[in-house]
Order: sequence, then C-alpha cells, then structure tokens
Amino acid sequence: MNQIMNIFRKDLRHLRVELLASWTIMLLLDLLIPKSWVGFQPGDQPPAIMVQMLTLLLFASWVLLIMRLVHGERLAGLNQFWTTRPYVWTSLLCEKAIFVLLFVYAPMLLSQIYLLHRGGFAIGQDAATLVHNLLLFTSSFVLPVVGIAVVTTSFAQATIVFLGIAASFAGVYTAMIFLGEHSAYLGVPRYSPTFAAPLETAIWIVFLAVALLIQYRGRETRKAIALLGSAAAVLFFLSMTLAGSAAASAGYATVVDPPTVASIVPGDEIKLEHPTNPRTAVYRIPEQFSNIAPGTSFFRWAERYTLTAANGYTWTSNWRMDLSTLAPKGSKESIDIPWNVHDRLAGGPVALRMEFLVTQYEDQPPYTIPVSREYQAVPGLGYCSAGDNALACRTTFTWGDYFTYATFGREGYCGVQPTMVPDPLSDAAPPGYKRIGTNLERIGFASPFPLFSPVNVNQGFLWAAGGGSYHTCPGSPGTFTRRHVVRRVRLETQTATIVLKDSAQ
Amino acid sequence: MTPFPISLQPGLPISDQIVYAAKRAIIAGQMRSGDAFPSVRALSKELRINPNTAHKAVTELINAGLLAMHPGIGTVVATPPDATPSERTRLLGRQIEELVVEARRLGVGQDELLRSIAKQYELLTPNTRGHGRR
Amino acid sequence: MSEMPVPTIATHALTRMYGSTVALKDVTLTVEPGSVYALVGPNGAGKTTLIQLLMNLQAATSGSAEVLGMPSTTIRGASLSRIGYISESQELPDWMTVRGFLDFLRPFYPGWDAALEAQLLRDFALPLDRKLKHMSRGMRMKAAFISALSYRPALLVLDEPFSGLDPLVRDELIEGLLDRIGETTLFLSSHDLAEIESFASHVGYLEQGQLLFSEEMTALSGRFRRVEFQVDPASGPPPRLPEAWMEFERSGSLVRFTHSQFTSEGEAVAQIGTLFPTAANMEFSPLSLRSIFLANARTHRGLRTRTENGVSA
Repeated sequence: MNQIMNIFRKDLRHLRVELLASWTIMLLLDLLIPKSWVGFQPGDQPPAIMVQMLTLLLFASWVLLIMRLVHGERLAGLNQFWTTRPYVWTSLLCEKAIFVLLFVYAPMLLSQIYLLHRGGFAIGQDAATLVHNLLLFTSSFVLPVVGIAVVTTSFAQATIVFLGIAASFAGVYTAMIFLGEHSAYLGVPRYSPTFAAPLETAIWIVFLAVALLIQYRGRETRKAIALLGSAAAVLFFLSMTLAGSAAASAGYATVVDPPTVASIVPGDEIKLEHPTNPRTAVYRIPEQFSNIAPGTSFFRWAERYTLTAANGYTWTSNWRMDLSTLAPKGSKESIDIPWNVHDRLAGGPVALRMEFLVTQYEDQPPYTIPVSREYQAVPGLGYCSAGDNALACRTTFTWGDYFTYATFGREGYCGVQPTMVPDPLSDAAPPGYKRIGTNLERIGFASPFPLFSPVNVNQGFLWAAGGGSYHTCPGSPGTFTRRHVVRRVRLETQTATIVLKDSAQ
Repeated sequence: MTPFPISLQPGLPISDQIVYAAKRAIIAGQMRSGDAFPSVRALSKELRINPNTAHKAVTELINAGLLAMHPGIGTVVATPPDATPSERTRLLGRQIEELVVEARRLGVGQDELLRSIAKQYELLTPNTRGHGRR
Repeated sequence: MSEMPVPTIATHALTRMYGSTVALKDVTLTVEPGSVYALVGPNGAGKTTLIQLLMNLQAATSGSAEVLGMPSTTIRGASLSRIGYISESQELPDWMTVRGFLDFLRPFYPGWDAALEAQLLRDFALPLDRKLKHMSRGMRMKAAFISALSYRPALLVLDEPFSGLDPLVRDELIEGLLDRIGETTLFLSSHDLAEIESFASHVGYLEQGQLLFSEEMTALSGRFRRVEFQVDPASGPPPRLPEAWMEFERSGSLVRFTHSQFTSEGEAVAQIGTLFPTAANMEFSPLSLRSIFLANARTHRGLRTRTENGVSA
C-alpha cells in the first residue's frame, strides 16, 4: 500500500502536463459536443471536423499518458534503474491500474454522464451501454496500448512496434483479398447479435491480461511479446473464419412454425452474371417472402446456400454478409460459386437451398408528433427535429430496436401553415403529396471501437418510393413506429431445382 | 593526515609497506612516543585502502610494540624498545641491496662505493655549513 | 559453535550463450562476506554479463548462482532491499531532482538511513534541487551512489562505476565506498585497476567469458614477479619454457619475463638455473595489478614476444 501511494504521488507529479492536456481536451469536447446537436434548429454549429479532431486528439493524449505512465517504471530491457529496486510487482501493477481508472476512465465516465444529461437522457436507462462502451474502450484501446507499453522501453520504440503491427495487418489483409474471397463480405457482421464478437473480445482480453501479468511478475518480455503477437494472430484468424462458419449462426432459432415462408422462385432462366469474374461464378436467384404478418418485419444479416448436383456432390457456402430488410414482393439474390465448384455442378439440374439469418421485429403502437424544426421528445428514441427533407434525431448509443418515420411531403414548398393536413395513417396520399420516410437507429456499435460521446445526432434523408424530392410541412403530423426485436431466426427456403446456364464451353 | 611519509607502490603488499614506513618514521624519530597515530578508519581513507589492510598493518605495529591502544585516546606511538643497530640496518636492507646491484652493474668497486657513502654522510652531518647540500 | 559463513556470492559453472557466441563459460567463483571483489578483464570479456546474471537481469544458459544465500533467479522484490546495484549504463529518471529521486526511493527500503543519506549528500556536495538531466555524468553517478548506499545494503554490485569520470569524482566515490567496507560486501567490475588495486581484497580475471583466476589480492601479487637476468649471448634457447613464464623476451645477453607462479626467490633462482645455466644477476620485482592484467591479456591473445633481436609482438 505504501509503495502504491509512493509511486502514485510520483506519477501525479511527473504526468501533470499530460493529465492537464487530456482533461482540457475533454472539457473542450464537453462544451463543443452539445453545441453540435443543432439539428435543423437555427443556430451556429461548430464544424464537425473540430469535434472529430478533438476526439482524435483526446485518444492521442491518452496514448501518450498511458505510455509515459508505464514507461516510468519500465520492465523491458537490461539497463533499467528500476528493475533492481525492491518493488512489489502487484503494487506496481495496482498503482498503474488505479491511475488509469482514476484519471482516464473516471473523467471519461463523468463526461459521458454529463453529455447524457445535457442531451436530456436518464442515465439509468443507458447504464448497460455505458458499461459495454467501457469494456470496448478497455479491449480495443487501453489494453492494446498498455500491452505495447509494457514490452517496450520508450515512446519511440512503441511507435515503431505499433507501426510494424499495423503494417503487418495491412499486409495480411491485402494478401487475403488477393488470395481468397474478400473478407468484408465474409460471414455474419460484427454488430449483428452473435456470439462471435463477444468471444473474440473475451479471448483478446484474456491474452492481453496474461501478457501484462507475466511481464509485471517476471519481466518475461519475450513471452509477453509472443502472447501479444499470437493474440493478434488468433483474433485475426477468428475474425476471418469464425464469422463465416457454421458456429456464427448459433443463437438463431430455426423457424418451424408458419406463417413466414421464404422461397426460391425458379423458372426464370438463371443466367451467369459477369462471366469474366476470375474468382467466382455469380448468379442471381429470385427469392420471395410470403406470409409476413402485418406489423412484423425482418432484417437480414447473412445468408448461405447449399447446392447439390445430380451426382450427389454437395457444396455449402460460408455465411455471407447480406444486409437488407426482407421485402414481401421478393427480390433477386446474388450467389457466388467458386469456379472449381461450379465446374463440378454445371451441366445439369442443381438443387439449391438457401438459409437466412434474420432478426424479427414487431411494430409497436405508433407515436405521432407534429413536424417541427425544434427538437421534440420521442420515447425510446430520443429527440427529433424535422428539416425540409430530412429528419435529425438526438439519440444515445445502443443496438436492437429501430424506428421508422413517415410523414407526407409536398412537391412544392409547404409554407408555414399547410392548407391541408394529411393524415399519415391513411394510405392514400392527397394530390400533390407523397409519403416520405426514413429508418432511424440509435447509434449501434458498428465497429469494435468505443465512442466518446454517448449522445449523437443521427440524420435520415426522407425519401419517397419512386424517388423525387418532397418537402416536409411544419405542423403536419409525422409518425414514429418502433420496431421492437422479437427474436433471431434462421429462415430456410425449400429446395428448388435450377439449371445454371453459363456461356462456358 | 598521515604523520609519516609513505608512497604506496603497486605490487608490494600494502600492509607491509605501511608497517615499514611507520617503523622507519618511529625509529628515525619523526614520530615520537605519545604522538597520535591515525585510526584504522582514518588510515584507510587517507591512503584509499581497504580497512582490513589498514587494520592488519596497525595490528602488526601494535604486536611489534611500536603502537599502543589507549582507551579513550586511540592509537598512539609507544615507547619502542631501543632498536638495535642491526635492526636499523635491516630496515635499510632493500636500499642497500639495490645500491650494491646498481654499483656492480656500473662497475663501481666496493671501496669506491664505501668512499662515496662516507662522503655523503659528511655532507649530511648537521654541523657542516649550509643545509648539507653542495 | 561456529558455522561457515554463507558466501555473499557463489556461482557454479555459470554459462551464458547467445546462440553460438559464448559470453560466459563455466564461471565458478565465491565472494566472502565483507570482502571487496574486483572483477577485471578486457572489454567484451563478459563482466557485465556476469553481473547481470547475478542481479537476475538476464537468465543463464546453464549453471547457477546464489546471492546472499538465495538462488539468483529468485532475486526480486523484497530481497533487493539488501542489494545495491550501480551500473555505468543505468538510465536514471532524468526528470527528477536529486531530492525527488531520493524521496521516491526512500520508502522502498525499510533499512534506509536518512542520516547517512544526509551525510553522503554533504560529502558529495550534490545540489538537492537540480534535475538529474541537468547534472554532469559524475554528479549523476554520485546521486546513484547515494541511492544505493543509503540503505546500507549487505551487497553492493557495481558495473564499471568509475568509467568516464574524472579523477576527483572517482576519488570521492571511492571514499564513499571505503566507509561501507566490512558492513557491505563489494563486488565491482572496473577498468580502473590502479585505484581499485589498493582497496580490493580479491580479484577475478575474466577473459573471453572464462574466469582465468580468482584469488586474494595478496596471493595474486605474491605470485607475479617481473624477472630479469643476464645470460651468455652465445648460449642457445632452452628446449621448453615453463607455462608460468609469460611475456618472455630475450635480447642479446638480457632476458626478461613475467613469472606468474612465483613462490620464493630461492625456488625461482633454481628454476632459472636449470633452464639457463649461464644465468646471472637475477632481479625480481613485483608487478602492479595493471601490469598483471596486461600480461594476462596479451598472453591470452596469443601474443608472444619473439626471442632474439628483442622484437616484441
């Protein structure tokens, strides 16, 4: 305990400039971010680039702080004055952890609570996502920075190590693009609710924590570096393979009961698209979704397909990312078949079966408010302000439910007081008006990176089916419908027989 | 400061050199009975030597009766038993050996050497005029 | 009832290899409590490697060592409160002032003597409020010394502590060390042979990773002699020179060599007489540590002087 206090006092003195810098930047962000929530209200908005730059600077200042904090008692290398002093390694590690918790996590948390409050949100409701964000902050930012810091002896060395890691990732990624299927389309995306992302994060955190511990306990720098390297490699490998594998679909129940039916519509001649694609044969398969109950909707995350030739040869693809809302009247779906597989299948009828991973949503009772430039509260979403042809909503971060918005827009400008108030719940559009709308989400965790501000403004362009530009009418009603997550399901089509016609010899 | 002249030569045992130098100084009368002798610690620091070596030298001098330990005062020069002429000559042993070897090398005969020695004694006797230097 | 005192340092066939390069090979030595052990040897001989192995800064390839009775691989945490370590290439926290530096270290050592610290600060005349990065190398070394001496360690390990320092600073530092002899066992590696010769009690000589000898200083200087004698110029060389005779030179009638196993003049005279029947006027003179070091270094690099014409390699 004595040692912890002693080192803490020293670090406080030594790092006061870095601390002050990061707190000042944070304070500036706390002041600027609320100002940037202008929406469509009249008012001055600070340039978005400023907030982005300051956020980047904030993270950079934290990198500097953490590096200098850890390098104060560096454990790697031979000539260190510190390693022959009688420190207790658990105390040292504790002191560093306490310092980071007190001076990085706590101020950030306070800022986030402040921003939530300024945004008009109750902290209690978003507590879970604040915690989730902190976990992401730890696994994606703090632990990797600490990991690099504990195995290096200076900031310059750490920068070189980091650049080396970044370069090798870029190299491997480039190689994979050229060698195999583009990994971006591979598998179920990270932000869809699967187990893969939490598993990867857990593995990553465990590897990093162990590397940290063995370095602090026994100064086994080589082992720690090996652990860090293999953690990165394992993670990379998992993200390339796990998301596409059968394991990714765990958690999606197979729908047995009707009424929703997914089916393939054979009959049309299915032609080879892009014959010159060197890697895969691409076909477009018409699909259809019927019996979708009113008030129910599906959002698809990924699909996979199984092809069986007449001679019994069967091939199943990996899960492929394919984001779209399932439309009842059907659409065409592209399937990619590697050429070597295709050659074994072609020349006869092929049995095709498709599977989709979807989230099923249920519409909640709509909530109607008049269109207004001012921010108005929308329960469960946040605060929304309608512009001339777009909707801006101030929301907090989470994932799951999303909202649709609809109003009637006019071909010409509406003016302050519209002459006629269209009823948004009616299907028929009055002459000169058309239904316009958008989908709105609270910000999801689309990437494995943490966010600084829990409150953000999401904008959606109000578009009409069939296109054209329409203008909102202030005062006329606009309706929010919350689409609530019911469950995650795997929809399977029937097995349909198709003939793959290609222009090959 | 060390109350007797000493210049440590590398190679020879240090404690022997100290004992030798102290003995010379005492016998030559440069250090008189009752004079304070540096403590082991002071000797060690003055000469930049290991205290154990200093301790060894002092112990040897005490055993030889040249130094005495007085409680409360420290180490003092003791009244030595009168040094016999042969003992004194023994102290010069090394120099005599070197002198003779060198003389032989240069081809100086024993008689000539003795004449030179006698001359040197004359020059250094206090009752000659001047400070004994030509 | 008396026990054998536990050696402060004891190594057993300590070996360190980097791939196929030998840094240390089969080094076995003992350092008794209260002694001052000087580890000498040419550059690259492995002195720093040995010290780093003892201080558990590196791991040995094979062999073992005990420091203060504990295996060297277990030296960490509390056991370091009894060991002081000073190295010429230590990186002190430059941004700290002398006062800040000592204030920071003091709570780590239960045995820290604030009075001793104050006295050393006075003796070394270090300005408390100056940052370490604004001080000369000598002053920084003094600060390092204070930070290692103030807690009265049982063992003080110094790796080239005087390198690059001017004589006055060296002298001051040695004076600081002298006070600690007896209570503290000193283990130091140094090129500065002249100065440590007078206060080292033991010497270990490392050459290309091997410990060629490790003995008491008095024994070492006792067995080395520079020997000079005259022979009949016409007489031939002896069939074989003893291995203990180093740096053998002959020019005309004068023969000179360094005897490394000298016992007494009588025996030496007899030995010479057997090999050189016409030998006369034999003279024996002791050697400084520096000369012993040079004799060993030159010999082990295969430099042997050639006879006749007095041409030396």
